[in-house]
Amino acid sequence: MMIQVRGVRYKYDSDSDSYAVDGIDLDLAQGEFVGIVGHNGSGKSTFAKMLNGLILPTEGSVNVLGMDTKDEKSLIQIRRNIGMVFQNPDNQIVATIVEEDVAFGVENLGIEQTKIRGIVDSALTSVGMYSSRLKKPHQLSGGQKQRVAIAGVLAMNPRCIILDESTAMLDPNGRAEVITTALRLNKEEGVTVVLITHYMEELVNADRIIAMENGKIAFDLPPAKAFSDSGRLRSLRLGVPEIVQIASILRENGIPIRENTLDVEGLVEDICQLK
Amino acid sequence: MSIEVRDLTHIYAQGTVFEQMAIEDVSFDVGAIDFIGVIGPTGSGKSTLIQHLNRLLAPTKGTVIVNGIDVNSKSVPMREICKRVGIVFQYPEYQLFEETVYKDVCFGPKNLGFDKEKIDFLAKESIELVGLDFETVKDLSPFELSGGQKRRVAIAGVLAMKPQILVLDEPASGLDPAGRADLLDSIQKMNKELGICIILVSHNMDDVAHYCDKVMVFSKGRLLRYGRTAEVFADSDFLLSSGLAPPQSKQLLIELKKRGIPVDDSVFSIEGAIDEILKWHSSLAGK
Repeated sequence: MMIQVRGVRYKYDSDSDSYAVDGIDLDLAQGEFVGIVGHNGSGKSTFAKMLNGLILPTEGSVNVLGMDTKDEKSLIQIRRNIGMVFQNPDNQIVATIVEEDVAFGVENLGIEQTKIRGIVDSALTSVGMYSSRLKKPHQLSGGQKQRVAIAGVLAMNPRCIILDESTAMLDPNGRAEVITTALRLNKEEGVTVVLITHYMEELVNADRIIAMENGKIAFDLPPAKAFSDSGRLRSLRLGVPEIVQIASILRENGIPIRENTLDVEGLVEDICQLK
Repeated sequence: MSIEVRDLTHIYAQGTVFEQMAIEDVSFDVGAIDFIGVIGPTGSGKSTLIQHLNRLLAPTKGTVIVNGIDVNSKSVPMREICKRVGIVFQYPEYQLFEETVYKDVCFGPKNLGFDKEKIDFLAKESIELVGLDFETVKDLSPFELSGGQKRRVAIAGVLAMKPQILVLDEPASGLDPAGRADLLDSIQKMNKELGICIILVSHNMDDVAHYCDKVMVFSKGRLLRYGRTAEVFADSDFLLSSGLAPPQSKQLLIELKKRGIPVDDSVFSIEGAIDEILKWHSSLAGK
């Protein structure tokens, strides 16, 4: 098991009675693509930070590849295996040249210089940024900066990447770049991906969508099932992708649309079948 | 007319090796109670443009006239400009600094030299306008609030200066879908009920399609298109060629049309897309 969460609770203020994360049990398998959604303040970012020991549970336990995040000796190993990319691209780039930024983490691992070159090049190639390796960060668009941040994480050869609202500040093209990169890493390189977002349409290709509410899991379902109950989504202050809304109304009007049609391509195929 | 921009050009670091043309020969007029969306990819010049509207940047060339006043005229004090044009930048909650919500919102009007009574009135009015309860939040520290509430307080701080024009750069980014709709509804109210001119910079085409009467499309520092939202969004070829992602409902119609299904791809709402598909489907049954 990649990550095993058991009875986890967390409160920021030890005097308070309110828990930001309030009783979560969860298993994430190696190679899964999992979306986490929930309104502002539902506890999803707090929970994500518990997955690599940035926050330690007040109660319960988080195990990563069999290592407990509370065991200080395991923390370095845990963080090498779970990389995190945050929201603001300008807050996570530290070097003045793209390839140096990607090398930053690896250099700190004490890997020999000659190997670092190869690791950095392959990480940059993997996110499609190799040709920009000598650029300065300010010459990049938001989407490109986030891909560099992902490369920096990839260079550490993690088994899992957590994207904590990494698309929130990007324009539509930048968002698409980041999502495509995450999907490719997941499908082709078997990296486990945890994607936290407010954009439901980014999750149509996920294996599972986990919705959080008041620090608890409100539901944990595959996308087609998660999107099928729009009333429940709205009550959790979540949106429904436009295509899913259109598909469900077409279905109500007697047009045969498959239950697992969630994106533009799928709906076009279904409709063209009627010709 | 509330804003007249003529031949506006801005070049960063002119005369150095870092010289970069950010906006070039941009001209447009904005009406007194318009609700305008500004869209365009990252780096298209949107942020550079809005900083010219209250003199945070001076033009390399061209003029900006706001309600009859030349924004860059040396004889006009900065205070006069701040009274007219309020700008809410991205993630404005990072700019909150006072001990209480009330004090934070009062900061702007205090600097404009209003008397105590007026400041008090404006603070209360603005906090209510952004949808918060004045009595509940006034004595709280801004840092005790949720992200969405902080965002609202920051906007209230700008509103308290009674601007005639309110410019907002991605005001809803990072908010959950319901929070997003609440905030944009409040902004729409400021426009429709109080007659404040709104300029909304956004990456979210769905929001722009839903709320804005007119839309400006920027690309590589140029104003490519400026017109009624319905007209600009109707032009599928233009949207795709300028690197903008149309709403999903519109992408669907564009793809269907490509595949030979006779739908009108100028439509850009969920209801419109459904109507088009149902119309086509019932025409099949007739044959």
